Amino acid sequence: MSRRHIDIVLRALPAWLVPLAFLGIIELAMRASSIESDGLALPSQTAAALLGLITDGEIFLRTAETIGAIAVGVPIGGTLGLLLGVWLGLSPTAARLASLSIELFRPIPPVAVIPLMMLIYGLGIRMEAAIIAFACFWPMLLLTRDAVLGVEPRLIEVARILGLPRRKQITKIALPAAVPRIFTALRLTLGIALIVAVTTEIAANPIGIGYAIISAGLSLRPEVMYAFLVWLAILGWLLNESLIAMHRRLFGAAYGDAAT
Amino acid sequence: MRNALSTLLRTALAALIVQLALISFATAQTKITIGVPPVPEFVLPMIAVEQGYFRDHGIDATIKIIPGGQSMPAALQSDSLQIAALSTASLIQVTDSGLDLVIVSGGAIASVNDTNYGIVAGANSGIVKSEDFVGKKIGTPGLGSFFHIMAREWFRRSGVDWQRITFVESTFPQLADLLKARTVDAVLSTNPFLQRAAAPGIGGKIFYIAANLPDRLPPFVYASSRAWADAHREAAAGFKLALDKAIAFEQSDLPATLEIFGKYVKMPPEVLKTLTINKLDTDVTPQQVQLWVDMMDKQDMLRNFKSPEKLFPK
Repeated sequence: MSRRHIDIVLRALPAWLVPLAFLGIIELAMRASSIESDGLALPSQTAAALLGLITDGEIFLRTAETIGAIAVGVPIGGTLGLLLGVWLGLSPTAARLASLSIELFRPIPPVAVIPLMMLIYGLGIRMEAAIIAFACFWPMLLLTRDAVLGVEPRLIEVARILGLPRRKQITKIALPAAVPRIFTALRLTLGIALIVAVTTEIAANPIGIGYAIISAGLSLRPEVMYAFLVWLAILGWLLNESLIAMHRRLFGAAYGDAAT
Repeated sequence: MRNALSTLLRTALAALIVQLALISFATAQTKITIGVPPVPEFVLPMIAVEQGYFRDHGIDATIKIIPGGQSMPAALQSDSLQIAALSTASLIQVTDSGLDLVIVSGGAIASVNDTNYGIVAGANSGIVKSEDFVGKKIGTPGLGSFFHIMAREWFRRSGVDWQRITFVESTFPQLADLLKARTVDAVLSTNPFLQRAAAPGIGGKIFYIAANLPDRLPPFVYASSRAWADAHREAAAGFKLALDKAIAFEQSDLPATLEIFGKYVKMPPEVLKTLTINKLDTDVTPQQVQLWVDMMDKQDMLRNFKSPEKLFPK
């Protein structure tokens, strides 16, 4: 077969074949080595466990808990980050005054605030949402600030010359020009939110997918643990794909391509 | 017609009284959430819920399975949980750090002939006596946990300086794999993980550490915040009485006990069948708690701890 034919075949291959082939290789390798472990499971066992979790509905219950916390945390952290980001983007004085505080608090890992949030909110969705809000606040703030700073300065200047009040400068000029980049920030933020939610559940909060993963691991059901991990990957992919689709729909193909 | 009306009224009145009685009974129940790790030793509250022992004592309990014990003290303090199973060592430590928690009931007793806590030496590690551990690496579920404290005390009592042994942290299910891969020379564990690590080809000699530790050591207790215990004295007393009934149930019917445990902690049936349960006991005294304080003191783990008496509500 010539190089050209190989190229044609490779181009025709769908992307989903790669993870599938990877899992197939793992299955064969594990069977060949007859490996036995409390922490490993065959991909085929994992697939059966995933099917079982879908059939009995447990996976949807756990997903609803995780998504519920994200649905509360992201709007809170995201909105606060967005508002502050717009302000810092428009006001050089505010940006200068806030810069030290931002750089001091931003590096704090969200996981490090778990004990504090647990004392304030106790176990459950409120604690998890508060940690997610904390984690989402910073990227949203910085990316929004940069998005506003990236707005063509002459647009703002013209608005000032035209005598547009401050509020209208924001709503008519700065925000519309920055929205596509803010949407990209939202995509990034949602990815972070999913990671933080699951980490919080694994570390401390007895709800959601993370809790299901750690519980399955401790009760010697590795196939269930991996089934939830696979589901988490599917969930993350679905979340990203739907946001890209939304991005394309809202801002057109050019922005959509940039988003991918 | 008048008679029929009067009968109807009387029936309605009786129904209303029954309803009110039921409502007052329902509201008389103290609602609590109990946090327990997914380990068979913590089966008592599960039995008490399933057999209605809590209800008999005016408690409407919900069980929350919480892997690991690290989040329990904060959950008690924030009132997410009203009662939680804490290792006695952890309770002493968080009290030492300033949290105001008290013991509502004892949980289990580790006696010297207990085979539930052990160090499994690797099959080819060459470890046959306590001195052989010097310079070796032991996989441990939680550094600073009650397991770790017990193991260090065991080494001290065996005349081995535990500071010359390296303890590395791992989760229970990974311990056998670590031993198999020879990443560690031995693992410190409990059942069912202990037996899995001791499987032929993986584990060698098992050192049952309770044999060389103080007798009647309470590995864990059920604790609440002092504020909750003070405000719910009847429920706190009822909790212990319900657990006493659960112990009687566990002693008379182990298969049914494990079946109840399996309802809360989903485990493979073949593993569930092999589970064993330590001696459970709801009685615990300040003297027994002092045994832990002594061990922890020798390991420089405490700063301000005054007296175990403070852990018992008056």
